[in-house]
Amino acid sequence: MKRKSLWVLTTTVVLSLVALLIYGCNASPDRTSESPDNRSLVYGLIQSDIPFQYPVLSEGEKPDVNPGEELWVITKPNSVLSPGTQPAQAQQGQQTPQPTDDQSPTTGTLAIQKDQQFIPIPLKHTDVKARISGYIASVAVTQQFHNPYPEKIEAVYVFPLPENAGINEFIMTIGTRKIRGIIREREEATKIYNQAKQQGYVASLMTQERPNIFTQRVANIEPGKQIDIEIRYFHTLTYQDGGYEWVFPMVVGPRYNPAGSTDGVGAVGTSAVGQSGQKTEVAYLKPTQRSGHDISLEVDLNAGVTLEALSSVNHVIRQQNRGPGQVVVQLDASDTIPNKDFVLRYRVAGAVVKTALMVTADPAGTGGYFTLMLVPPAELKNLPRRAVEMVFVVDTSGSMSGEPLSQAKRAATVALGKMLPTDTFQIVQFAGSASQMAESPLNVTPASRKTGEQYLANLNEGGGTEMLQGINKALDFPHDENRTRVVAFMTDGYIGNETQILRALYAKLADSKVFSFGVGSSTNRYLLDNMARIGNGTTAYLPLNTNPEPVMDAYFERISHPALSNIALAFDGMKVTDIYPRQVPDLFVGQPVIITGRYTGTPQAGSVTITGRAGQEKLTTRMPVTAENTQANPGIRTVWARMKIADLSDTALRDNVDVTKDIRATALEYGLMSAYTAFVAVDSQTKTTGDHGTTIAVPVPMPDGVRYDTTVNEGTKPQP
Amino acid sequence: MKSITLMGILALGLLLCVSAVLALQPQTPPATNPVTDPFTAVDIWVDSGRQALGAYQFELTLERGKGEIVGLEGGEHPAFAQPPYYDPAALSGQRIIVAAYQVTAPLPTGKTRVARVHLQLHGDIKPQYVVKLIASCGAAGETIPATAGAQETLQGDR
Repeated sequence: MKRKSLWVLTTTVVLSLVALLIYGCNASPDRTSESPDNRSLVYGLIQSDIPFQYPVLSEGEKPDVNPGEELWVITKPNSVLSPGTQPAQAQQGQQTPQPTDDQSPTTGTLAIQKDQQFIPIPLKHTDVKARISGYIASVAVTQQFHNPYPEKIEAVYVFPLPENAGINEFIMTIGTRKIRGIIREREEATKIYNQAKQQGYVASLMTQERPNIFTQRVANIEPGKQIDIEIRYFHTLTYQDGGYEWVFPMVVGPRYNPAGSTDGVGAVGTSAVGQSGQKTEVAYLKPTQRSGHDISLEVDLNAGVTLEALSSVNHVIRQQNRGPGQVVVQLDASDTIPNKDFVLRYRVAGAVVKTALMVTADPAGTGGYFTLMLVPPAELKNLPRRAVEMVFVVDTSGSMSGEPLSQAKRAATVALGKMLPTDTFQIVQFAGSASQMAESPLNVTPASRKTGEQYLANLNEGGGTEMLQGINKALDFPHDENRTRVVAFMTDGYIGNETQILRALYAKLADSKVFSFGVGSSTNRYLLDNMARIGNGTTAYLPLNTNPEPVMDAYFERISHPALSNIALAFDGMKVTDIYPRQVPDLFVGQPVIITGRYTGTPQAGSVTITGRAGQEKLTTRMPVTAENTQANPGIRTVWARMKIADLSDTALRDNVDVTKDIRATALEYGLMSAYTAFVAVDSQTKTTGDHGTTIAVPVPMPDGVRYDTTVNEGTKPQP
Repeated sequence: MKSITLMGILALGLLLCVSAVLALQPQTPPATNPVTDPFTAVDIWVDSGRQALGAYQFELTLERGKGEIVGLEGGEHPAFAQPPYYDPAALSGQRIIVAAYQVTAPLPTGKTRVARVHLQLHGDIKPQYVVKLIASCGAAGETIPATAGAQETLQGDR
């Protein structure tokens, strides 16, 4: 019995083991999911029976969806024609690009034929199409990259956009195919891009280096091929002294970075790419060199009311009238080198702003978003100003050499002539160091004016841009209790340490007011606008080769009356929340301010009451908000999110707190570019052969009027 | 004793047989398709039958495997050739929701590819793609019945 049992037991165990092993070898958790050919997979279907309102959602209309469902719709913007995408032909006889460290795109060696006028580069053309409605612009920028070399390349291009641009679309075009880029956390997007690049996929990545400086990377461009990148953004125009201004920057000016900094923006020659030691770097063409990169620009302007004057500050333009208040402006074919800001100015009929309030419904809620242009109370013009202690701060660094410094001197001289006998003035100059005209501010007299004019005339140019020293000199000396200190900064703003400068302003400002004057054709508007904002002043721009008198007249008109400060707003007819900027800027004569916010419910006709202090007086003014001056604009949601990000950034500057998480969350929720998010696009269907090719930094022309020899590091000398 | 020896020989013989059978077995297939290339694309189609498709909205879910969207392309019909829009707010919650609409004719009928989603896959297991059609509308904006699905794009299919 024992033997028999043992036999049965052993046989059972062995057979079970065999069965188990064989079964285990063939088992698959879900064989039904495998495709017949192991490549093409077909997956489950779900019947749609969810009601859907269409056309998508009217303003204030609530979508009809089942509980828990998310109905999400985006308003489709008006189409903007893309330029042709004919593939470029490989240039014959070009040098082969040299391989570089793939992790450091800006360290590539630019392979170009030197000492020749024409320099083939990977960026062929930039096309700009803008549509302006009221005071909001929708802009599409298409950058046409191509590969004129015989080998595969990665193109890296550092370029400017307006500092208040809410960039919410990014599309990569390969031939006839268009791939929408996806917003991601910056590190994540960079990682995706690098992996795609390493594996030979055509990919692109756009990152933000400053609010007005961006880097575009396009990987695996094969010889003769073209890849277009289209960027779209919304932003608000400025309104000053009765006129609107729309600006499109075309080139990043050469920045100075204080010794020891690595987070700046380097300026190098084409033979010194990668040698600036800065996180971001711009390569510049010599004055004798030209690339094939040109620009076309078209603005479709619908003012809503009759246009009274329209002009371009820096460019030759052509215009076609399309009806009352409607005009199309184009860059003239004779002026297509992208080396200066395009600045379009125009006035509209009537003394007051007609379209102060603009609204858009939130597709995901019951309320919406609005922008509002706050117009200064008319009473401000009747109030006299206090005596001022004027401090002119003149940038005499290398980038201001020549015409920019001459223009700054002319402007300061004009201003001296407009000062009152009750005022005092001081002149500070800064470059590698700072110095001042007199021990203490001088009373305004005919003699002291001459002293000032002589001091200005004798200012020499050259050296670095230690702006911090200029700020210290202008703000550190004891305040005159009987006068308002007004600091007038005259600079191109070509520095890479903006954060340090803006923080210093917050720390040292006290009761002073700072007005910034951007001198030149391509100034650092992010720095200049923020200096003025922090300093409770305003910004003005002094183009080259123009009479500075009108600009200085407007400036003196502004400081000749007290500003409305400590502003509080009360809305009647609208329940509003989340207003940005949270601290409404001071209102000066002739200088409205745009704010944005959210509303709940449906906006009704009503009014906005503005209360504030002007000198010793308390002023209150009411702005009617009616259906007549209410416009709908789909870009307002983006403008609101962008202004929220700017406000968060300002909080970080002022209070030295970390707002990274808040900015990132806002940018991701609204699909916006920011310092902590980036756009990435990968074409998984275009895998090129070989390794990822050579990295080529796109060199750019020097800004008009700026000297190459005083600003650009060619690798053999320290940065000026 | 003889019986014990016999049982031992039998057991040994069975084990040898098992070993031989195992040696002849093909290599074990994976639980699901392995990821051969982390970058891939999925074509999304919508079938609106005889009715013209004017708008759609869907959610793409990756089941079993992991991946993230790295690009969004339009479909084959001219009405939906432009890249559709994605919901950034949903994306920040790890959801892929895509939508597009077209108001001008001609609009597609029947089964048409409306979008191509470029993805980067993570891990060793290729995910299953599930499409949930959230909304589908006709030319006048009326809700119409439709089905949707996903099909992995063949490499190099442009």
